[in-house]
Amino acid sequence: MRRVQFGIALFFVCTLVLFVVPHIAASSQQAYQDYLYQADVYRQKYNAFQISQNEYLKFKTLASEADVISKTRDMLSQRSLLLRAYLLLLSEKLNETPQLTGSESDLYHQYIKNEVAFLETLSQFVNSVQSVNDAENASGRLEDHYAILASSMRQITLGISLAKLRSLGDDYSQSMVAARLLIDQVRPELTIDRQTTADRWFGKISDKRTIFLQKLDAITKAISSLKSTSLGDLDAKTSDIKTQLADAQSELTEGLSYIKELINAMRYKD
Amino acid sequence: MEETPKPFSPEIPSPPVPTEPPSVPQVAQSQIPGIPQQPAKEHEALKTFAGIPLPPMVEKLLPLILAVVAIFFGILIFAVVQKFIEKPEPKPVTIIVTPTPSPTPVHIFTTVATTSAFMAFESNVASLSGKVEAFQNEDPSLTTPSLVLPLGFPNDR
Repeated sequence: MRRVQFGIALFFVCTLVLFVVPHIAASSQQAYQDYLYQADVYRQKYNAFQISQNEYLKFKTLASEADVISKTRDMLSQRSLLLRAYLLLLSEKLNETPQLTGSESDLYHQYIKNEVAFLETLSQFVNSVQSVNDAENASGRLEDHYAILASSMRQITLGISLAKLRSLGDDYSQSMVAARLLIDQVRPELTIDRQTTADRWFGKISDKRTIFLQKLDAITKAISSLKSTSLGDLDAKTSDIKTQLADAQSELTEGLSYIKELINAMRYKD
Repeated sequence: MEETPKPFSPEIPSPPVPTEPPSVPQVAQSQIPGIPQQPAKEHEALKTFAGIPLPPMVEKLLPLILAVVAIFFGILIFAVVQKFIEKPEPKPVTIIVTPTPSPTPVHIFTTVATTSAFMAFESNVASLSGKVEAFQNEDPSLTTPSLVLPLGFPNDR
Protein backbone atom coordinates (compact mmCIF):
# COMPACT_ATOMS: atom_id res chain seq x y z
CA MET A 1 0.00 0.00 0.00
CA ARG A 2 2.81 2.35 0.91
CA ARG A 3 4.56 1.48 -2.30
CA VAL A 4 1.49 2.44 -4.29
CA GLN A 5 1.23 5.76 -2.44
CA PHE A 6 4.92 6.41 -3.01
CA GLY A 7 4.51 5.61 -6.70
CA ILE A 8 1.58 8.00 -7.07
CA ALA A 9 3.50 10.74 -5.26
CA LEU A 10 6.52 10.17 -7.48
CA PHE A 11 4.33 10.34 -10.57
CA PHE A 12 2.90 13.71 -9.52
CA VAL A 13 6.34 15.10 -8.72
CA CYS A 14 7.71 13.97 -12.09
CA THR A 15 4.70 15.42 -13.89
CA LEU A 16 5.16 18.70 -12.07
CA VAL A 17 8.84 18.82 -12.94
CA LEU A 18 8.24 17.91 -16.57
CA PHE A 19 5.57 20.54 -17.11
CA VAL A 20 6.62 23.39 -14.84
CA VAL A 21 10.39 23.49 -15.41
CA PRO A 22 10.23 23.92 -19.21
CA HIS A 23 7.57 26.58 -18.71
CA ILE A 24 9.86 28.53 -16.37
CA ALA A 25 12.79 28.18 -18.75
CA ALA A 26 10.65 29.34 -21.64
CA SER A 27 9.35 32.43 -19.83
CA SER A 28 12.33 34.63 -20.58
CA GLN A 29 12.43 33.33 -24.15
CA GLN A 30 8.80 34.33 -24.62
CA ALA A 31 9.48 37.72 -23.05
CA TYR A 32 12.50 38.18 -25.30
CA GLN A 33 10.47 37.40 -28.41
CA ASP A 34 7.82 39.86 -27.29
CA TYR A 35 10.50 42.49 -26.69
CA LEU A 36 11.90 41.97 -30.19
CA TYR A 37 8.42 42.27 -31.66
CA GLN A 38 7.68 45.48 -29.77
CA ALA A 39 11.04 46.90 -30.87
CA ASP A 40 10.16 46.14 -34.47
CA VAL A 41 6.77 47.83 -34.19
CA TYR A 42 8.41 50.81 -32.49
CA ARG A 43 10.82 51.24 -35.40
CA GLN A 44 7.92 51.23 -37.86
CA LYS A 45 5.94 53.76 -35.85
CA TYR A 46 8.98 55.96 -35.34
CA ASN A 47 9.60 56.01 -39.11
CA ALA A 48 5.96 56.90 -39.73
CA PHE A 49 6.26 59.66 -37.12
CA GLN A 50 9.36 61.08 -38.80
CA ILE A 51 7.70 61.20 -42.21
CA SER A 52 4.64 62.88 -40.76
CA GLN A 53 6.77 65.33 -38.82
CA ASN A 54 8.72 66.30 -41.94
CA GLU A 55 5.47 66.99 -43.78
CA TYR A 56 4.16 69.03 -40.90
CA LEU A 57 7.35 71.08 -40.63
CA LYS A 58 7.30 71.62 -44.38
CA PHE A 59 3.67 72.52 -45.02
CA LYS A 60 2.37 73.48 -41.56
CA THR A 61 -1.16 72.60 -42.63
CA LEU A 62 -3.94 71.57 -40.29
CA ALA A 63 -4.12 68.15 -41.90
CA SER A 64 -0.43 67.57 -41.46
CA GLU A 65 -0.67 68.81 -37.87
CA ALA A 66 -3.50 66.39 -37.11
CA ASP A 67 -1.51 63.62 -38.72
CA VAL A 68 1.66 64.37 -36.82
CA ILE A 69 -0.22 64.50 -33.51
CA SER A 70 -1.73 61.09 -34.24
CA LYS A 71 1.59 59.62 -35.34
CA THR A 72 3.42 61.07 -32.35
CA ARG A 73 0.84 59.64 -29.98
CA ASP A 74 1.20 56.22 -31.59
CA MET A 75 4.97 56.41 -31.44
CA LEU A 76 5.04 57.51 -27.79
CA SER A 77 2.57 54.83 -26.84
CA GLN A 78 4.67 52.20 -28.60
CA ARG A 79 7.84 53.51 -26.93
CA SER A 80 6.18 52.98 -23.59
CA LEU A 81 5.15 49.48 -24.61
CA LEU A 82 8.69 48.70 -25.71
CA LEU A 83 10.11 49.78 -22.38
CA ARG A 84 7.53 47.74 -20.53
CA ALA A 85 8.37 44.70 -22.64
CA TYR A 86 12.03 45.18 -21.77
CA LEU A 87 11.23 45.47 -18.06
CA LEU A 88 9.16 42.29 -18.29
CA LEU A 89 12.13 40.55 -19.90
CA LEU A 90 14.35 41.74 -17.05
CA SER A 91 11.85 40.45 -14.53
CA GLU A 92 11.84 37.00 -16.16
CA LYS A 93 15.62 36.96 -16.26
CA LEU A 94 15.72 37.78 -12.57
CA ASN A 95 13.42 34.85 -11.88
CA GLU A 96 15.73 32.57 -13.87
CA THR A 97 18.87 33.64 -12.05
CA PRO A 98 19.09 31.62 -8.84
CA GLN A 99 22.57 32.98 -8.17
CA LEU A 100 21.04 36.27 -7.05
CA THR A 101 20.62 36.73 -3.33
CA GLY A 102 17.12 37.27 -2.00
CA SER A 103 17.78 40.92 -1.18
CA GLU A 104 19.24 41.61 -4.63
CA SER A 105 16.31 39.96 -6.33
CA ASP A 106 13.82 41.91 -4.21
CA LEU A 107 15.62 45.18 -4.86
CA TYR A 108 15.71 44.67 -8.61
CA HIS A 109 12.08 43.58 -8.71
CA GLN A 110 11.22 46.76 -6.83
CA TYR A 111 13.08 48.82 -9.43
CA ILE A 112 11.04 47.15 -12.14
CA LYS A 113 7.81 47.72 -10.28
CA ASN A 114 8.60 51.44 -9.87
CA GLU A 115 9.46 51.86 -13.53
CA VAL A 116 6.36 50.02 -14.68
CA ALA A 117 4.29 52.33 -12.49
CA PHE A 118 5.99 55.34 -14.08
CA LEU A 119 5.31 54.03 -17.57
CA GLU A 120 1.64 53.43 -16.74
CA THR A 121 1.31 57.04 -15.64
CA LEU A 122 3.13 58.16 -18.76
CA SER A 123 0.75 56.16 -20.92
CA GLN A 124 -2.16 58.16 -19.53
CA PHE A 125 -0.42 61.37 -20.53
CA VAL A 126 0.35 60.00 -23.96
CA ASN A 127 -3.24 58.94 -24.54
CA SER A 128 -4.44 62.45 -23.71
CA VAL A 129 -2.12 64.13 -26.23
CA GLN A 130 -4.18 66.54 -28.38
CA SER A 131 -1.52 68.89 -29.67
CA VAL A 132 2.13 69.07 -30.55
CA ASN A 133 2.79 70.76 -27.22
CA ASP A 134 1.04 67.95 -25.37
CA ALA A 135 3.20 65.47 -27.24
CA GLU A 136 6.32 67.36 -26.33
CA ASN A 137 5.29 67.47 -22.68
CA ALA A 138 4.56 63.76 -22.61
CA SER A 139 7.88 62.98 -24.26
CA GLY A 140 9.62 65.41 -21.92
CA ARG A 141 8.38 63.42 -18.94
CA LEU A 142 10.16 60.35 -20.22
CA GLU A 143 13.28 62.34 -21.14
CA ASP A 144 13.49 63.73 -17.61
CA HIS A 145 13.05 60.33 -16.05
CA TYR A 146 15.04 58.32 -18.56
CA ALA A 147 18.39 58.56 -16.74
CA ILE A 148 16.83 56.96 -13.65
CA LEU A 149 15.05 54.34 -15.75
CA ALA A 150 18.25 53.52 -17.66
CA SER A 151 20.22 53.37 -14.40
CA SER A 152 17.76 50.86 -13.00
CA MET A 153 17.91 48.75 -16.15
CA ARG A 154 21.74 48.81 -16.19
CA GLN A 155 21.89 47.95 -12.51
CA ILE A 156 19.69 44.92 -13.10
CA THR A 157 21.61 43.60 -16.12
CA LEU A 158 24.96 44.12 -14.42
CA GLY A 159 23.59 42.65 -11.21
CA ILE A 160 22.63 39.47 -13.05
CA SER A 161 26.13 39.20 -14.51
CA LEU A 162 27.67 39.85 -11.13
CA ALA A 163 25.56 37.13 -9.51
CA LYS A 164 26.62 34.59 -12.13
CA LEU A 165 30.28 35.48 -11.69
CA ARG A 166 29.94 35.31 -7.92
CA SER A 167 28.50 31.81 -8.27
CA LEU A 168 31.53 30.79 -10.33
CA GLY A 169 33.68 32.24 -7.57
CA ASP A 170 31.87 30.04 -5.04
CA ASP A 171 32.65 27.00 -7.19
CA TYR A 172 36.26 28.13 -7.28
CA SER A 173 36.31 28.28 -3.47
CA GLN A 174 35.00 24.70 -3.34
CA SER A 175 37.72 23.63 -5.72
CA MET A 176 40.24 25.23 -3.42
CA VAL A 177 38.98 23.14 -0.51
CA ALA A 178 39.32 20.00 -2.62
CA ALA A 179 42.82 21.06 -3.67
CA ARG A 180 43.81 21.50 -0.01
CA LEU A 181 42.54 17.99 0.76
CA LEU A 182 44.49 16.63 -2.18
CA ILE A 183 47.73 18.18 -1.00
CA ASP A 184 47.21 16.80 2.50
CA GLN A 185 46.55 13.31 1.16
CA VAL A 186 49.53 13.27 -1.18
CA ARG A 187 51.94 14.93 1.26
CA PRO A 188 53.38 11.69 2.77
CA GLU A 189 54.42 10.51 -0.69
CA LEU A 190 56.23 13.73 -1.61
CA THR A 191 59.70 14.97 -0.87
CA ILE A 192 60.10 17.96 1.42
CA ASP A 193 60.90 20.19 -1.53
CA ARG A 194 57.78 19.18 -3.37
CA GLN A 195 55.66 19.62 -0.27
CA THR A 196 56.97 23.17 0.03
CA THR A 197 56.26 23.80 -3.65
CA ALA A 198 52.72 22.48 -3.32
CA ASP A 199 52.07 24.73 -0.33
CA ARG A 200 53.47 27.73 -2.16
CA TRP A 201 51.28 26.99 -5.20
CA PHE A 202 48.23 26.66 -3.00
CA GLY A 203 49.09 30.07 -1.57
CA LYS A 204 49.01 31.52 -5.07
CA ILE A 205 45.65 29.87 -5.72
CA SER A 206 44.32 31.32 -2.50
CA ASP A 207 45.66 34.77 -3.40
CA LYS A 208 43.70 34.67 -6.63
CA ARG A 209 40.52 34.05 -4.70
CA THR A 210 41.26 36.95 -2.36
CA ILE A 211 41.88 39.30 -5.29
CA PHE A 212 38.74 38.03 -7.01
CA LEU A 213 36.63 38.71 -3.92
CA GLN A 214 38.08 42.20 -3.57
CA LYS A 215 37.20 42.96 -7.17
CA LEU A 216 33.75 41.52 -6.65
CA ASP A 217 33.19 43.87 -3.70
CA ALA A 218 34.28 46.82 -5.78
CA ILE A 219 31.89 45.83 -8.56
CA THR A 220 29.01 45.41 -6.12
CA LYS A 221 29.57 48.92 -4.81
CA ALA A 222 29.90 50.33 -8.31
CA ILE A 223 26.63 48.74 -9.39
CA SER A 224 24.69 49.89 -6.36
CA SER A 225 25.91 53.45 -6.89
CA LEU A 226 25.22 53.41 -10.62
CA LYS A 227 23.10 56.49 -10.93
CA SER A 228 23.62 59.37 -13.23
CA THR A 229 21.77 62.32 -14.70
CA SER A 230 23.28 61.94 -18.14
CA LEU A 231 23.20 58.96 -20.46
CA GLY A 232 26.79 59.56 -21.59
CA ASP A 233 28.07 59.37 -18.05
CA LEU A 234 25.93 56.30 -17.45
CA ASP A 235 27.40 54.60 -20.50
CA ALA A 236 30.94 55.36 -19.32
CA LYS A 237 30.25 53.96 -15.84
CA THR A 238 28.59 50.86 -17.30
CA SER A 239 31.59 50.26 -19.52
CA ASP A 240 33.90 50.62 -16.55
CA ILE A 241 31.93 48.04 -14.54
CA LYS A 242 32.05 45.62 -17.47
CA THR A 243 35.81 45.98 -17.55
CA GLN A 244 35.95 45.23 -13.83
CA LEU A 245 33.83 42.13 -14.39
CA ALA A 246 36.22 40.96 -17.09
CA ASP A 247 39.17 41.54 -14.75
CA ALA A 248 37.57 39.49 -12.01
CA GLN A 249 36.81 36.76 -14.53
CA SER A 250 40.48 36.66 -15.58
CA GLU A 251 41.50 36.23 -11.92
CA LEU A 252 39.33 33.12 -11.76
CA THR A 253 40.74 31.85 -15.06
CA GLU A 254 44.31 32.21 -13.81
CA GLY A 255 43.48 30.64 -10.46
CA LEU A 256 41.92 27.65 -12.18
CA SER A 257 45.00 27.21 -14.37
CA TYR A 258 47.05 27.13 -11.16
CA ILE A 259 44.76 24.44 -9.74
CA LYS A 260 45.24 22.39 -12.91
CA GLU A 261 49.01 22.68 -12.51
CA LEU A 262 48.71 21.58 -8.92
CA ILE A 263 46.65 18.55 -9.93
CA ASN A 264 49.29 17.54 -12.46
CA ALA A 265 52.03 17.97 -9.90
CA MET A 266 50.19 15.79 -7.39
CA ARG A 267 49.65 13.07 -9.93
CA TYR A 268 53.18 11.63 -9.76
CA LYS A 269 55.49 10.74 -6.93
CA ASP A 270 58.64 12.16 -8.50
CA MET B 1 84.45 -65.01 -100.97
CA GLU B 2 85.97 -62.43 -98.90
CA GLU B 3 86.04 -58.80 -99.86
CA THR B 4 89.33 -57.14 -99.77
CA PRO B 5 89.36 -54.19 -97.38
CA LYS B 6 89.43 -50.85 -99.02
CA PRO B 7 92.22 -48.52 -98.10
CA PHE B 8 91.23 -45.80 -95.54
CA SER B 9 91.72 -42.95 -97.91
CA PRO B 10 89.31 -40.73 -99.80
CA GLU B 11 88.67 -41.76 -103.25
CA ILE B 12 90.14 -39.43 -105.76
CA PRO B 13 87.73 -39.05 -108.63
CA SER B 14 89.19 -39.75 -112.04
CA PRO B 15 89.43 -36.73 -114.36
CA PRO B 16 86.51 -36.35 -116.72
CA VAL B 17 86.94 -37.71 -120.13
CA PRO B 18 86.33 -35.10 -122.85
CA THR B 19 83.50 -36.08 -125.12
CA GLU B 20 84.41 -33.61 -127.79
CA PRO B 21 87.77 -32.44 -128.88
CA PRO B 22 88.57 -28.94 -127.74
CA SER B 23 88.33 -27.36 -131.06
CA VAL B 24 87.47 -23.95 -129.69
CA PRO B 25 89.63 -22.76 -126.93
CA GLN B 26 87.50 -22.13 -123.85
CA VAL B 27 88.00 -18.95 -121.92
CA ALA B 28 88.38 -19.44 -118.17
CA GLN B 29 85.58 -17.95 -116.08
CA SER B 30 88.01 -16.11 -113.94
CA GLN B 31 89.22 -14.27 -116.85
CA ILE B 32 85.77 -12.75 -117.73
CA PRO B 33 85.95 -9.07 -116.98
CA GLY B 34 83.11 -7.20 -115.15
CA ILE B 35 81.79 -10.18 -113.24
CA PRO B 36 82.78 -10.43 -109.56
CA GLN B 37 84.48 -13.65 -108.88
CA GLN B 38 84.21 -15.65 -105.68
CA PRO B 39 87.57 -16.00 -104.11
CA ALA B 40 88.62 -19.53 -104.36
CA LYS B 41 90.56 -19.54 -101.08
CA GLU B 42 87.56 -18.40 -98.90
CA HIS B 43 85.33 -20.96 -100.50
CA GLU B 44 87.99 -23.44 -99.66
CA ALA B 45 88.14 -22.22 -96.01
CA LEU B 46 84.40 -22.82 -95.54
CA LYS B 47 84.72 -26.32 -96.63
CA THR B 48 87.60 -27.11 -94.30
CA PHE B 49 88.17 -26.38 -90.65
CA ALA B 50 91.81 -26.34 -89.53
CA GLY B 51 92.70 -28.17 -92.59
CA ILE B 52 90.14 -30.86 -92.00
CA PRO B 53 87.44 -31.00 -94.61
CA LEU B 54 83.93 -30.58 -93.16
CA PRO B 55 81.12 -32.93 -93.90
CA PRO B 56 78.38 -31.45 -96.11
CA MET B 57 75.85 -31.35 -93.20
CA VAL B 58 78.20 -29.31 -91.03
CA GLU B 59 79.04 -27.20 -93.98
CA LYS B 60 75.39 -26.28 -94.38
CA LEU B 61 74.98 -25.44 -90.68
CA LEU B 62 78.26 -23.59 -90.40
CA PRO B 63 76.75 -20.03 -90.68
CA LEU B 64 74.20 -20.88 -88.03
CA ILE B 65 76.88 -22.29 -85.73
CA LEU B 66 79.02 -19.22 -86.28
CA ALA B 67 76.03 -16.97 -85.48
CA VAL B 68 75.29 -18.87 -82.26
CA VAL B 69 78.94 -18.65 -81.27
CA ALA B 70 78.95 -14.93 -82.03
CA ILE B 71 75.83 -14.37 -79.92
CA PHE B 72 77.34 -16.42 -77.09
CA PHE B 73 80.51 -14.36 -77.12
CA GLY B 74 78.48 -11.17 -77.33
CA ILE B 75 76.50 -12.14 -74.23
CA LEU B 76 79.69 -13.14 -72.47
CA ILE B 77 81.37 -9.81 -73.23
CA PHE B 78 78.21 -7.91 -72.20
CA ALA B 79 78.07 -9.79 -68.88
CA VAL B 80 81.74 -9.09 -68.18
CA VAL B 81 81.40 -5.38 -69.01
CA GLN B 82 78.21 -5.12 -66.97
CA LYS B 83 79.96 -6.65 -64.01
CA PHE B 84 82.66 -4.03 -64.15
CA ILE B 85 80.17 -1.15 -64.60
CA GLU B 86 77.86 -2.19 -61.80
CA LYS B 87 78.70 -0.74 -58.44
CA PRO B 88 79.23 -3.25 -55.77
CA GLU B 89 76.28 -3.39 -53.38
CA PRO B 90 77.00 -1.80 -50.02
CA LYS B 91 77.48 -4.16 -47.27
CA PRO B 92 74.60 -4.26 -44.81
CA VAL B 93 75.28 -1.89 -41.95
CA THR B 94 74.87 -3.47 -38.62
CA ILE B 95 73.39 -0.98 -36.16
CA ILE B 96 74.51 -1.39 -32.69
CA VAL B 97 71.66 -0.34 -30.43
CA THR B 98 72.89 1.44 -27.42
CA PRO B 99 70.47 2.31 -24.64
CA THR B 100 69.79 6.07 -24.53
CA PRO B 101 68.00 7.98 -21.79
CA SER B 102 64.28 8.59 -22.62
CA PRO B 103 63.10 12.25 -22.75
CA THR B 104 59.95 11.28 -20.90
CA PRO B 105 61.06 9.33 -17.94
CA VAL B 106 58.68 6.88 -16.38
CA HIS B 107 56.75 8.44 -13.54
CA ILE B 108 55.11 6.61 -10.77
CA PHE B 109 51.56 7.60 -9.86
CA THR B 110 50.77 8.69 -6.35
CA THR B 111 48.22 6.57 -4.55
CA VAL B 112 45.71 9.43 -4.60
CA ALA B 113 46.01 9.94 -8.36
CA THR B 114 44.29 6.66 -9.12
CA THR B 115 41.30 7.27 -6.87
CA SER B 116 37.90 8.18 -8.26
CA ALA B 117 37.81 11.29 -6.06
CA PHE B 118 40.94 12.62 -7.71
CA MET B 119 39.51 12.03 -11.18
CA ALA B 120 36.20 13.62 -10.20
CA PHE B 121 38.05 16.65 -8.84
CA GLU B 122 40.05 16.98 -12.05
CA SER B 123 36.85 16.74 -14.08
CA ASN B 124 35.13 19.35 -11.91
CA VAL B 125 38.00 21.78 -12.33
CA ALA B 126 37.94 21.31 -16.10
CA SER B 127 34.18 21.87 -16.13
CA LEU B 128 34.45 25.00 -13.99
CA SER B 129 37.24 26.29 -16.18
CA GLY B 130 34.96 25.91 -19.21
CA LYS B 131 32.16 27.79 -17.45
CA VAL B 132 34.46 30.64 -16.47
CA GLU B 133 35.77 30.88 -20.03
CA ALA B 134 32.21 30.97 -21.37
CA PHE B 135 31.10 33.66 -18.93
CA GLN B 136 29.89 36.83 -20.62
CA ASN B 137 29.86 40.02 -18.62
CA GLU B 138 26.71 41.08 -20.45
CA ASP B 139 23.78 38.95 -21.55
CA PRO B 140 23.36 39.73 -25.27
CA SER B 141 19.58 39.34 -25.00
CA LEU B 142 19.46 42.11 -22.40
CA THR B 143 20.74 44.91 -24.59
CA THR B 144 18.86 48.03 -23.60
CA PRO B 145 16.57 49.51 -26.25
CA SER B 146 18.03 52.37 -28.22
CA LEU B 147 15.59 55.26 -28.25
CA VAL B 148 15.67 58.74 -29.75
CA LEU B 149 14.03 60.68 -26.98
CA PRO B 150 13.69 64.30 -28.19
CA LEU B 151 10.87 64.56 -30.69
CA GLY B 152 12.69 67.11 -32.82
CA PHE B 153 10.08 69.83 -33.17
CA PRO B 154 11.52 73.35 -33.55
CA ASN B 155 10.18 74.53 -30.21
CA ASP B 156 11.46 71.37 -28.54
CA ARG B 157 12.93 71.81 -25.12
